[in-house]
Amino acid sequence: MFIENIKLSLKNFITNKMRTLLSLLGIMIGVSSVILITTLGNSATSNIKNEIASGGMDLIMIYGGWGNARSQKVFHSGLGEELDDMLDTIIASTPNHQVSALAKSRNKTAFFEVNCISPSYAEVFNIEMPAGRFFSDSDSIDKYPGIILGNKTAQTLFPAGGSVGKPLKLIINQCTYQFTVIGVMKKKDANMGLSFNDVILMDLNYYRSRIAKVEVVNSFFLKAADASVAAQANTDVNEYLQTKTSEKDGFWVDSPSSISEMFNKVTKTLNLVLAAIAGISLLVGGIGIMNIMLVSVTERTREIGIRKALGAQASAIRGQFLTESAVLTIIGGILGVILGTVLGKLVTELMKWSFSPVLSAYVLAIGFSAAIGVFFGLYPAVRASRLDPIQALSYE
Amino acid sequence: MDVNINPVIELENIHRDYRMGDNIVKALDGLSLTIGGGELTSIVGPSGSGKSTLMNIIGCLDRPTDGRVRLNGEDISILSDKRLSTIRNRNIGFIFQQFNLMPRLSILENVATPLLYSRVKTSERNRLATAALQKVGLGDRLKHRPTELSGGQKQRAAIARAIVTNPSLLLADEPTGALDTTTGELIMDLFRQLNSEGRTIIIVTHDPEVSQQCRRVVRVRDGKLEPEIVNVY
Repeated sequence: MFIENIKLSLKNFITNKMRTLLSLLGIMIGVSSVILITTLGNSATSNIKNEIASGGMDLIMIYGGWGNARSQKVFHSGLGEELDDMLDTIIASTPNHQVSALAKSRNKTAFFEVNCISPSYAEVFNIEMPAGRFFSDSDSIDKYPGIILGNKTAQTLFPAGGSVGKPLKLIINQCTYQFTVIGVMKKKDANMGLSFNDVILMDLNYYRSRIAKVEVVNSFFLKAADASVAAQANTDVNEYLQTKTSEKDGFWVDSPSSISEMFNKVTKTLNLVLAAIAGISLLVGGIGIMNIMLVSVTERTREIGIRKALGAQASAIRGQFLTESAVLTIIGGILGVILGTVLGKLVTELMKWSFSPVLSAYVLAIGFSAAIGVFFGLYPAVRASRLDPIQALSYE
Repeated sequence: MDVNINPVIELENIHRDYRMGDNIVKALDGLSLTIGGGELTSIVGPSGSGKSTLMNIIGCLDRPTDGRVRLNGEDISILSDKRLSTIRNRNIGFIFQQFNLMPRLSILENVATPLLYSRVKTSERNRLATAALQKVGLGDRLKHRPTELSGGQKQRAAIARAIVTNPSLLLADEPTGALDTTTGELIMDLFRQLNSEGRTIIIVTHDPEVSQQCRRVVRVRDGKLEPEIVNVY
């Protein structure tokens, strides 16, 4: 009986192609917008997450030193090691004190940003050194005037190559210092706004003992034990720093994991808004279905009378019309899914994002369409099943 | 032909009232009628006489306001709508003036529809419907749509649909009313053939040509029976 009903419905739709299609428009638009928006949301999110995560999800950044004297004291050069010792979730740390300097090689002069860091910098950022070596804890901090160049810095200052071992002059605060290049970092993509290619690295200890005795370091980079505990580490650091200074805006802790968490929150809100839009359009679509089913019942009053005379029980008539409206909305759902997928594919292609459709949205959209067909088809179907056969048979 | 002594339908003091505003119209007013198995009966009467109401009650499409209806000995005047549907499906075959075939379905599907409601399997449905269509001479028109058939063919298909469940009673409402004389006669021939095979047939008509071909002619006027005519051939 069920299969017969489906066949009957399809036959009926084929005879009324235009009308069927128009009545499905509401459901189609509702479903396709759900598919489109979830696909775009998911593709955009995964795209941004990929960009964030490419630099490592285990990074935690602390910026501070803008607060009052008391909270400034917290940001002494040993804060990174302190956090490393105190928190289980942190396994490496480096201070980062930025100064700018005019660099002079034998035949080039240019301004560069100098990052004064500790040897653990290499561990925090997974620095690879194709030429030369990184700083080491055993370097004599007072005397060792070693310096490390970013990939692009090396190319700028030493266009002929072979920069390792070459001398380099840095002019900082109108004083000239003589250094030797001990290594060049491998080319590395910027991470969270930190660049690695156009910088010069200097040991902070050397900077503090020979150039300027800085007390407040403006930023620290920490490495979480694992990407999975990065969010926890972020919280730990925040809480630890709060015990040191109660000043609001005295510091700022940030990490790729917290940004991606924020992104998840935004996505969740977006999904709620989306659900509301989908709900409204599916409601409107459902009312359209109810309308067309009522028309269909009226048009087929005589058919209903015939069927009843032939022995159809009320439940059989009800089943026939319920099946018809459910098949109708499922067709609408399928058309909507196809439309939404095609549009989603087009837009992601244009935006050069990876195309990541949300499977659960597909299942939900089709299921919801069927449910809407049953719900909004119920009233017309019940009306059909309650028709008096004598009156229905004499209906013109 | 012999008439079975066991009655197929027994009507006992049937009343059917309709309320029209403040008035009560007595469509049937204390009518009693018994039709035996294997009879070919016609019901005649002017319009408004109550013959349609009588047909609806015999066909289990309507219930009397008062009185008893027995079909094959079972009192059906008290049954639920659901049970009446089943009785219509199993025991009564309807034939209408306007054929009432479903236009979107093929002839075979039309004829198989009553079997759908008695939950007969698809293959069996098709077999029985094909046999019924062959019996009325439409074995070569199975896949045609009703609109592709002539009036006489449509009525033959409708008769096939009425006999497909092998009911105890065929109930025809002006079966020749929409047909020309020649085609109408062919349809009457078919009815007589089915009757000679033992089927009980009631034909509601106001065409004397039709009623003359029935052994019993039941005359209805103002909701009551007038003396009936028995044609002897």
